[in-house]
Amino acid sequence: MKASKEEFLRVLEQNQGIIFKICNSYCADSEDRKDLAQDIIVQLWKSFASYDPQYKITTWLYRIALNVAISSSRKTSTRNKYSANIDQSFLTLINEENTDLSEELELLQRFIQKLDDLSRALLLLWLDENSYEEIAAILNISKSNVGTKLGRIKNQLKKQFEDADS
Amino acid sequence: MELDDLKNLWREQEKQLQENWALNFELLRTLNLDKAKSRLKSLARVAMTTLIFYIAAALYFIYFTIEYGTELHFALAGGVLSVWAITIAAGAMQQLGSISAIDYSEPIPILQRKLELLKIIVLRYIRIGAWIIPFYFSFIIVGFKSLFGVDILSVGDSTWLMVQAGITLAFIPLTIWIYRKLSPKNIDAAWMQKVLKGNGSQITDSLIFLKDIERFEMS
Repeated sequence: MKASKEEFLRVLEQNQGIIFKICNSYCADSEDRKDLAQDIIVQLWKSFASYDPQYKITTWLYRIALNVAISSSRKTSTRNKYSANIDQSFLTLINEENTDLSEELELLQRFIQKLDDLSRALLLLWLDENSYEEIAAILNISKSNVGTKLGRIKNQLKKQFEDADS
Repeated sequence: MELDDLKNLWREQEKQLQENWALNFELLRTLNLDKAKSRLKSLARVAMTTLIFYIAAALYFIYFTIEYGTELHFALAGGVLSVWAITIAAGAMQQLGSISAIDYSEPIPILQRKLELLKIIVLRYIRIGAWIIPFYFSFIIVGFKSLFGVDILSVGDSTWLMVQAGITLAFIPLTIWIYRKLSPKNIDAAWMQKVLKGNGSQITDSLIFLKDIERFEMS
């Protein structure tokens, strides 16, 4: 079945925030974020025709975006060898990035950057208010396992914030 | 700070991101997305290069076997090298098939495991490649005949030929040992890390990541 590009762009427009957050969490600099956004969008488009409506569109989108982000971050050293074949970027910086983040947000970002790829995905999904059921479907682990892992990550986070306060 | 306040922080960040970044929908509307390429193709490139190289090698070895097959030692040497090259080419073809079946909408650990297993295919090639060690003399026979038109078995010194036969026999247990040792199960061994270091730390990283995935799914 030929995918409708307009339908695809509508889905993308409604969920672009997910792409921004994933790119921001898996890439340290702006150029890498643009490259990653491009890889994610191309992959989303390639998979759009085979989207299975039994899953929520956001579950499908998170799976693809996180899968691409993790595979890209795992070959950072070789990424630059392959220049993108599109001159313009899909992702544009419209305002100069505000680097004055609140202390807490900075602490949270530092914590996220330190996590391994899969735990980072788990925390992102929780922060984005996905249910345990959705997180389990995206990560292919049981709901109880989601709870156990999140509990551990939250404890580490709590400790980090307490250490920062003291 | 309460942990649930983190979600407020996260929303604050989302707002900032939405203010600073935008997707270029004008470009997305006009561009043919089917032709847009991402950089996720490097795995296919390695498999395709391997496939082309070993198909070419297999074709030459088959030609050699047919051309000089009237003499037993040429037929055996050419035959062994043909089988070896065809085996590696078949492995590369299978890898290309697996790459084309990759579905990024699969759950994250499942897809990541498939990708990492594809990356460590080099380890499989090294293992298959090891089978050729006891047959190294086939290369010498084929090489001398192809490059210099010389039948090394008829012109070679008999002592030297006996030494080669001894080396061939000694290589059999060595090859079995190498084949068994070069298993992904031995990734944690220090010697394995040293061996793989020369073949690119990517393999070591992949094997370690596979273990991480396993741990993530289990605990």
